[in-house]
Amino acid sequence: MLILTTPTIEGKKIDEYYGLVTGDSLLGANLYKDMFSGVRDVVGGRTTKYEEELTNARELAQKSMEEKAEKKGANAIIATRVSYHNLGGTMGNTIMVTIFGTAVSYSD
Amino acid sequence: MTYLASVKETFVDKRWGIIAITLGILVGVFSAYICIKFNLVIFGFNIMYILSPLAAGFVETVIAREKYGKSTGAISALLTFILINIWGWFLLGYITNNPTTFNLITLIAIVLTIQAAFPIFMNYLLFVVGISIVRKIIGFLVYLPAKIQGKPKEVVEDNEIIGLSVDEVFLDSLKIPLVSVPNTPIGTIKTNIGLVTGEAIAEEKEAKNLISKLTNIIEPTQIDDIYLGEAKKVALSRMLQSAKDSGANTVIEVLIDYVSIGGFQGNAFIVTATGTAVLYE
Repeated sequence: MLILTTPTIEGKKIDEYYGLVTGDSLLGANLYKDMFSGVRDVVGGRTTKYEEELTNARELAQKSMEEKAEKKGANAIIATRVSYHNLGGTMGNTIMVTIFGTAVSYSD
Repeated sequence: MTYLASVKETFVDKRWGIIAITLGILVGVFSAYICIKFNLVIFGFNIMYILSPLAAGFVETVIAREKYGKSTGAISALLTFILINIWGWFLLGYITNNPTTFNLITLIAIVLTIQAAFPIFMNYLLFVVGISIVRKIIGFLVYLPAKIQGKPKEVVEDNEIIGLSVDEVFLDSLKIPLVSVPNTPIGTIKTNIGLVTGEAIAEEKEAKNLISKLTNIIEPTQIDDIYLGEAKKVALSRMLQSAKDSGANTVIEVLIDYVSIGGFQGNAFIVTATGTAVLYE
């Protein structure tokens, strides 16, 4: 599936608009716990693990959005936006990854 | 009849949860009994106040995890805690006609028992409320001499730019510039390849010495205190790398976003870069 942040597809014609599709996922980043376990690696300190987790969370959200678009019969998603929110908490932080775009079908 | 059936079903469903809680309370009360029987007292304070709720909660959680499949929320620890406190603070004094007196040791005991029963609540009080009170006091003491002398606080000008930051050097070295708009007149987009993202975490710089560690508590965070340029560079280069891996040569409509993931122990930022990978000519 073609996922773009642009409102148009270069050199292609958009045949039909199916409407908004969204995907969300949560990531429980317990900064607190990890600091005590002393996980550190050379490149990015203790935080490299979170970067991996964050990528996983974003991929999960993207996959669920793609599934919804496929169900509608779309073959592309345009004007996609990804946003990250911190839901807070005292013992650690939960990060919410949301992704949304417009499902369309295109032809040459 | 259906109501009764549904009640029965709930009980059958949750039988292991109920058994776990009951066993937890029994273990808690039994451990409290042993503590009283053998008079396990430290500094005039019976250890059952801490030990019994913990034992009850532990037994309950272990059984619930094994048999019920999920946590029951340590209800037995709370119930044991209430039972023991009613016994220790009121009933014991009533029976022996020797009510508990209020002193420093009993005060510490109360704090410890509440800490054992409500860890999250107490940690919030200790780390958030407590630390901010300490912060206020230190701030007040540091600025007190200046206030007495009536001198205004010195303003230090520290806005000079010392060279380019890491991400600017990186951006300038690119052959095709990264843009945040959908189109540029420099070339034409041949094909759109897809969404690419890059994530990085910006950490706070650690204080060099004890004095700056202390002043860090009261001073607001400065922009130089965070490795923001480094994180921006990492996020952008990861995004560009994943674009190049999928056959594109640049990225358009780049958006950079920041999310704070603060904690009690320091601040950190997630820096994310999102864009559309394209083949440019």
